[in-house]
Amino acid sequence: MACWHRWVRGVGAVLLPLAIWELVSRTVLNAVLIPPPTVVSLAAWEMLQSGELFVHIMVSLRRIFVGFALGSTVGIAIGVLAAWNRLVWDLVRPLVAVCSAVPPVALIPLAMTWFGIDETARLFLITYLAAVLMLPNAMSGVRNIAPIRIRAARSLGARSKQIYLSVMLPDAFPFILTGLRVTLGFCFMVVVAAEMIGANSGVGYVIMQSRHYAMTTKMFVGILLLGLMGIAFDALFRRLLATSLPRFAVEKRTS
Amino acid sequence: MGPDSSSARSLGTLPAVTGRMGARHLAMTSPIRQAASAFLLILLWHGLSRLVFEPTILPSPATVLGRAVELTLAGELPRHMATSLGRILVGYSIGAILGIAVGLVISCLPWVEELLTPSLGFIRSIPPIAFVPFSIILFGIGETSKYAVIVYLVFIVLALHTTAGVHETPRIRIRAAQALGAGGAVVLLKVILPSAFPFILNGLRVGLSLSFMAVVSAELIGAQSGLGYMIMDSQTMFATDKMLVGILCLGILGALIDCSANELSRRLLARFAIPGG
Repeated sequence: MACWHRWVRGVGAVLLPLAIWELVSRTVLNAVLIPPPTVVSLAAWEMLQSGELFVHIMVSLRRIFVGFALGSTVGIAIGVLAAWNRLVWDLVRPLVAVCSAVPPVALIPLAMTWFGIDETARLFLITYLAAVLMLPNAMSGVRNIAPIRIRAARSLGARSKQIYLSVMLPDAFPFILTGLRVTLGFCFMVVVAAEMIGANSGVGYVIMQSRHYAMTTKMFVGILLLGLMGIAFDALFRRLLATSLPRFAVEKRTS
Repeated sequence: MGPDSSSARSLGTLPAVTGRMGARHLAMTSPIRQAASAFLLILLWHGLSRLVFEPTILPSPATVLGRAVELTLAGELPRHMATSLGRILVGYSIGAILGIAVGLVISCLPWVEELLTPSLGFIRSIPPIAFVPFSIILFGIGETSKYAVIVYLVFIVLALHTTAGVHETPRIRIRAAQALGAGGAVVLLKVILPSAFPFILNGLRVGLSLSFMAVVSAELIGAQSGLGYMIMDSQTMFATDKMLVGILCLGILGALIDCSANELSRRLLARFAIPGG
């Protein structure tokens, strides 16, 4: 019964705002400027059927994931090194301080100057961003490792490989995973910005292109699609966190 | 992107080392070595710009500094900076006031909140820059479209943070106040608002750094003034030195805003003796 109740409320929370939007845009507002959801979903359906939407989604996703994977690998590697070696941290710290203070969107024109408007510019931007965001997270993850547990493992006869995999990794893992989640959100945001400013494909491009032709319906398809993608990413990561953190929490209890 | 995405903006100031390896790592931030490495970084930049890259790709630090002085004296840099800051100030204030007010009202009406929270969360997960073209179509190319993007962004962040804060108010405090004869308004002002304060403060901080990002995005896409415009304009003219002046200015401004916001919220939290939120 309670479950049924929640289900109805959940559906209501989705449907009612949509209904209000439909009503308001058809009566009070200019339906050309703010198209009602029915019109938007029809347009989305058409774009899906022509395959146009799918291509742009895949292009954006590829950019995000390639850059994200490359950048976070680099960031985690340097972060781990910096946590263990003072010299590395002292060397990278000023650079990290400068890079993290500059809003990443402001670097889009610079990336365009350096790499032109082809794929490299976007990949560079996302890789850079992921690296800069992941570095401090990986570092605080490694700093969180308890030396006593490493010593305990060593005195119990663990080899380096075992210490890395079964002591240090589980301790640093929650930090790194949380960092990855935040980083992915930012990569998503910047890829859209980069696609809007200098690209000829991707979801950001769809939005920008519709602005030039003043096709608000198509623009809304793009904007809503971004919302869905953002929610999907976040849900994915929350799922990952929820399934992996308890496993490591069990580890923690033994310390 | 959850509400906690703020952590990414304040990377420069890493959280105080409270970890179990704290003592060892506190010793590692030596100011002299950091100054040396900052100097090394500038030297590397200089070397690269002289030996490897052309000035249109990477101008030397001296060129950029000279250009910064030149632009400041000509009044161009201060003007763009003032424009950007003015946009943030106006949009942020309106958005913050609206967001807190609506957040408080919503959280007093459970059914409205239940209806609105999923939509707000959905809108929140859309990158703010995606709204810039829409805002331009709706409000034209003038100032209103820039304000609108910032207002919308700050509004959503604060509405979400405020409702979250109100929900964290311990029930027992409300009941105690009611038992002592407090009316609705008194409970709201003297019990709920102080309890929600750390959350609202956190929202104000997140909103500030996001509005900084939003104003740059809006200026990159459709503006005739502001630091974002200056950067974009230099890109089309291949004036990389001017572009770097703009980017570094944004970095300095961002760091200053972030630091002062952190310091202010720390002091406020301490003053009101509220355990950190």
